[in-house]
Amino acid sequence: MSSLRSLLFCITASGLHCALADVADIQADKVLVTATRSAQTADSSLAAVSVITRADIERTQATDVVQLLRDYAGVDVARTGGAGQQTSVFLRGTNSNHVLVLIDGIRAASPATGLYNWATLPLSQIERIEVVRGPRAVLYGSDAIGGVIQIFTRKADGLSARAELGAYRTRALQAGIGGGDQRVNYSINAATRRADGFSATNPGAGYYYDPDRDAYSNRSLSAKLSAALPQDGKIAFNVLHSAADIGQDPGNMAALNDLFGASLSTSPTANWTQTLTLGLARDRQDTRQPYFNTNVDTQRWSADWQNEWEPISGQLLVLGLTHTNDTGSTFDIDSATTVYDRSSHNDAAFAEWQFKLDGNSFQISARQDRHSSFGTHNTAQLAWGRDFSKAWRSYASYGSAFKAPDLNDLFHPGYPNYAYPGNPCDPSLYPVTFPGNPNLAPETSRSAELGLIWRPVNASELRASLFDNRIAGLIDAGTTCPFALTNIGHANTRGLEVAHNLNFDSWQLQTNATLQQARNTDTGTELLRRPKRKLTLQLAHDLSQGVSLSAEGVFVGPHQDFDNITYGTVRVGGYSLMNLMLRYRLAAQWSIEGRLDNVFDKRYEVVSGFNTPGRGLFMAISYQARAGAPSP
Amino acid sequence: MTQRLPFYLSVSLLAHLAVLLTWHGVPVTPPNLTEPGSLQIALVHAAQQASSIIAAVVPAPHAPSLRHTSTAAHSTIRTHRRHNARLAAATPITAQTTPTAVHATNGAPTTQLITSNLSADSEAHLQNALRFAFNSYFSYPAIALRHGWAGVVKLSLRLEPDGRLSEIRLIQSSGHSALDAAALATAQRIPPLHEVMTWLQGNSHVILLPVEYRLIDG
Repeated sequence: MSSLRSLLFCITASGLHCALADVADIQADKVLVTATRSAQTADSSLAAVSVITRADIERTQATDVVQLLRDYAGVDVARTGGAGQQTSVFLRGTNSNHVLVLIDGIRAASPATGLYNWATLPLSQIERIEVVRGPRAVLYGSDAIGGVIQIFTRKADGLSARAELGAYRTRALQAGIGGGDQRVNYSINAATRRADGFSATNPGAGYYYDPDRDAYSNRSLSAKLSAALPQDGKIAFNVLHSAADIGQDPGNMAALNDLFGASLSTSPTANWTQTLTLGLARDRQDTRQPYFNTNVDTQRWSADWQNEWEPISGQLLVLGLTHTNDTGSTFDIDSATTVYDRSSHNDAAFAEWQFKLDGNSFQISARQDRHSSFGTHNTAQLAWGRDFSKAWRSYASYGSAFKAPDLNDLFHPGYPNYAYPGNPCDPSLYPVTFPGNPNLAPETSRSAELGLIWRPVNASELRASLFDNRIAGLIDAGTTCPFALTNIGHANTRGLEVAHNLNFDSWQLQTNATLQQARNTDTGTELLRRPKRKLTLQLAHDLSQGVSLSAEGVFVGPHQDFDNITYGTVRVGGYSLMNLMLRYRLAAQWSIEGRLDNVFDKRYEVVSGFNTPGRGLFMAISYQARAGAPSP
Repeated sequence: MTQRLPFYLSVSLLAHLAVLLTWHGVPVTPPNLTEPGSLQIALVHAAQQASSIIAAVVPAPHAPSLRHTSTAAHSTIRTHRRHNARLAAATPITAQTTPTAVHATNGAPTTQLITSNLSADSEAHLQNALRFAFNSYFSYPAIALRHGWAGVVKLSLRLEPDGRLSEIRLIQSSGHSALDAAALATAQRIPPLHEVMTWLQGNSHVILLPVEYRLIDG
């Protein structure tokens, strides 16, 4: 009977537990699990990442990408003239084609030149920029030797509009509308900007000097649509159309850059997510100059399939397959001939494994590319990070990266060779010089980095990184006639980046400093247009009654540049600039903004022989419905 | 006693049916707690119902405080009393610990054996021990972090007297299967919570555990 008594005991004393097991009798404290929202391009605890948000862009009131990007450590920006002129971005002292530019996940550079035309995209079309320094080849492929600049186009929330007037007869308009909820959301944003400008060149430009003003205009439209699918799925479409007309010395250029993207992501199981992305990029550049009238038309199709698998919480495996197809043609107007019309394609597979061990974070990744021209190429990267205390974190990484030869490098037939005094190549023997070379291998790099993050309080974060890049196989003209392109150069860039962000009360202070050395290790000479030291300071203060004030100081050291008169090198002096910004919030949705550029009207050069903006005032009035809504 | 077993069984069955048909749910957040959602030991609910059943079973003039048990002890009560006496011996009884509205069906006093075993101190200790234990095991799943998923997962689990966790179930989804699965997997990996055993007093409890995964901007 005792068993029956026990049974009774269960039924009577704790029978209610048996019968009502679905009802809890203790409500435990909520467990709060937090994580810092990570940058999308790279893990900011294992790499040097700077994130520029819409709020940052609006606070600095930068008028173009040069003014915005040059403030950041490890980034040098050079432009041959004023707004709209050709802009080159150098990350960590590497070449301007060693930075991968992505717009909404799609490669934006021209497959022919390997360069992105920054003049086509105004800042009013940009929601967010992530600047990652260091090699990123494994996940992103070619070009990411110095790093990646990932641009996310504007995501309108409600109605927004902005009208701007400024120096050099600058006028700009932007209007956008967007909305939706967790299920479906959309955004459309249109912008146009033009300026009469100033002469891009001064007499130091030699042959290129033309004192006329070089105007520019651009217009762009971005649209996005995304919808949530069951099981954490998502389908999204995005389109960006941007076009620019630019007056140059000499001549002018019309540029067009169209990007289309579609992505579908699903979670077949709770710990596996897959994303399929299709992209189409179209880039056209029509150049009209005396003796040089060409139309370059390129297209790039890409398909990416990426899988993320998390077998155990904290251990992540990423596997991806990608295919890209580049087509480019160059048409010469004067001779009415097609200079070349060629294509290349690339397939790649990559894997990345992230895991934690005893408080250390590790990231091991590898990739293999198979290119229609240069065949197989492998890259790999290893990164480690550790929190030494709540405030200190250290990370280190070593990786390889590459830059695939672009269509011009591979297939351009060369430029007609004419007789002139001192011509080393006899035109009868060499009808063309500087031809491309279909046997080119990719430029390769190996980089090491050591980083430190100090965050004693939430309001203050200091990031420092030491880097060293060894680049080999740099594509350049050969040393013997006809000077065909070959993998000939070696370079070494190394330095220290320091970035500090301080936020307290209504004050914000950002400091960015770079010390670097970029050399051609074959000749021992300094690489051009990369200053050895740079310091920028941004101080912002929110006063009462909706007024914000900011001041920005830019201090750049001297650098070596190409001398357009002697064809040798020339030392370009350093410079310092000060800019002031004011913003006044009139009402909940209206703001008036003003920026005084180059307060002391300093005359300086960033590229030898080319002018830079003097003192200028830019004013704008803007409207933003649902002001304060955060952007993702 | 044996001849009356069928009688007691049928009374017990009737009482069970009566309770099952009229049960409206456990008031998990009692009205006069200052902090909503904080740990609350509502042992009184189990004990209260048990005692009301026992009261029904034992034809006594009033439901006795089982600690001061009467000598009119039927086997069921004796078993129960032995069980509770063990608990009573563990800690000194100081104050009523749970300020809940206890619905004793026969007007019995609200002081029940199990709750009265725990002082306000003990309850606080159990709360802290559970909070510390749970907080140290959960971490943000990597895929959810990459995709920006966040939400609250509600789990139900049974905390055994020896500190083991069993019957781990998902009560409410966060809207993202990655977070739900991560919370369940983490709970299943939590080893026996020996440090809370002392405060459990040999009872098992069903715990409703909310886990919030939240992303903060860096």
